[in-house]
Amino acid sequence: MTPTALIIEDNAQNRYLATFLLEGSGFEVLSAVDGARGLVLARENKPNVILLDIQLPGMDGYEVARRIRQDAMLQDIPVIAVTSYAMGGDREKALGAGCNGYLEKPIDPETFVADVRAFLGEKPV
Amino acid sequence: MSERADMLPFGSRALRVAIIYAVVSLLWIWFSDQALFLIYQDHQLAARWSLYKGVAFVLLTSLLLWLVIRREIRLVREEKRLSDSMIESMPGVVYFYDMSGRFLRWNRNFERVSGYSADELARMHPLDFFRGEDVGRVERRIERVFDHGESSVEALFTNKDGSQIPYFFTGRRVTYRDAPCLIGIGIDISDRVRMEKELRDLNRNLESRIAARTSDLKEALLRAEESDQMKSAFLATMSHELRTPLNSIIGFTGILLQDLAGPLNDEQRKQMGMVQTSARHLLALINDVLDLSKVEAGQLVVTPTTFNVATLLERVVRTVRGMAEQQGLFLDLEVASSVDTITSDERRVEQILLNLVNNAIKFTESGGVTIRAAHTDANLKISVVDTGIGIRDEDLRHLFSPFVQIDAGLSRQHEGTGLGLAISRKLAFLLDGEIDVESVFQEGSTFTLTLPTKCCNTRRAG
Repeated sequence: MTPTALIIEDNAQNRYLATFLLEGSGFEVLSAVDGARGLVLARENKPNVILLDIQLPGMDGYEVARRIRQDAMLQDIPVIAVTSYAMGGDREKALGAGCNGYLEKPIDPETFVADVRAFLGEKPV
Repeated sequence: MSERADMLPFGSRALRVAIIYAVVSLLWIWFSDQALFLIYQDHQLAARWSLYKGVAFVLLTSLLLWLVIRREIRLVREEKRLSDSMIESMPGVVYFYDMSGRFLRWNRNFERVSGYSADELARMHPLDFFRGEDVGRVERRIERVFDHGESSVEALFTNKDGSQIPYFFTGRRVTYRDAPCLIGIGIDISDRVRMEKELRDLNRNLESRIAARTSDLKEALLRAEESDQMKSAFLATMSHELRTPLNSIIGFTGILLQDLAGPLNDEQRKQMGMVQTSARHLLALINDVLDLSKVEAGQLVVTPTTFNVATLLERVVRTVRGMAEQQGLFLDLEVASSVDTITSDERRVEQILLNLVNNAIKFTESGGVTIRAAHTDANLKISVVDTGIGIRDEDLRHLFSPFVQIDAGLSRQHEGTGLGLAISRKLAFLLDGEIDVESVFQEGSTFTLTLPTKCCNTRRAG
């Protein structure tokens, strides 16, 4: 079965980069430019993994993560925060908001797909 | 000396003299009369001589009495002159009054200071010289003198024209003509009081100046901290903004180099490799700047855990072994058997060690690097010893400053961000440890990381 990944990311190049890498490895990829659209897409498609940028216009990534965790339909989907935020406590904040994992930008194209695959099927914390 | 003790021998001596006088006189009268009656059988003649003898006796004793009394009077006068001149020569006011407060004696100073004449003073009461709350205080102390023998008090002495002078009075009870009296001395303490006031004013002034300066400093500190935090927040945002485009650059370069977007020719591969190297270097710089700003913004939290030192060192060696082998260098690890676990922030210790070992490899052209770990007291010492280019003495003190790479000639050859040591030292401080360096130019360097085996109270960097 083809796994589906949802990318919520406002930067077009980064969206394209992640999409390119995941599609190249056999993922079906959906993408959204902000949290609100991301939540709608998630409910419609129930992806196998959600890649979530933290610095988003409007609703920030932490809020998106919290809403996913509160949504009965979505709460089992693993969420990976992908962010270039790197100040102290960012990782803890992301995990606290309900993310299963944390990938720091810039992503490494050689390990990115493997990192994402590692979260597939994982139960949320 | 008490008066009573003085009186007794004097009294008994007077009595003794009187008794001796009476006995000798009676014996003289009796024996001389007997002698006269023996010499002169004629009673009439004897009686006449007895009369002469009596007259001579009276004259002689009168002369003696006159001499004695004159001497006593002189002594008393001298004594009085002495006590008068003593009283007058006193620097302060001296006075003497009885229990009803009637002045019996005083020195001229008292008249001069108070401004009252002798006649006026004779009619005044000791409490007339005080005003306000001093009256009660002085009265209580006077009572104390009569009850307990002595006392003292500081009060404002008010003179005839109403001006007031601070005085220190001491009083003593004496018995005069069988009645208790008070003899007292008062000393002008204007100078002392003025100096005390000046001192107090000076202190207050100093205190207010210190307070003002302290608040200035606090404000300056606050401003400095604010500007520090703004600077750090700015750096963090900058780093974030810089990393976003780098995500594309590194990501797509990687994709191209992996031929995921189609095959590259050799020249394209070489050039894309250059792009990748530069982008990674840029990323390293940004990461280091971010790290430094995190430490300086106090946003770096120490997370102590207990971990095995040997395991950590082996991991570090695994990470850098490839790099050492590429340069043909040996890489040795010597862990003393006493080294076991420590409590510290494992990730930060690893970061420091990776930096030190990376540096050692980078700056060593032949020979190699030895990592030694040993315990000293409550500390763990990890030394990174290289056989590299070494550091000149004059360069040692700049070594930990940001963006300083020693020896410009070599810096191009030895690529790095120039922030590694600055960050490492700050991290070491954060872990209650330190980094020392010893070096012999052109022979090699030893960087030693000293860490407490138990660190830290979780706290933020400052």
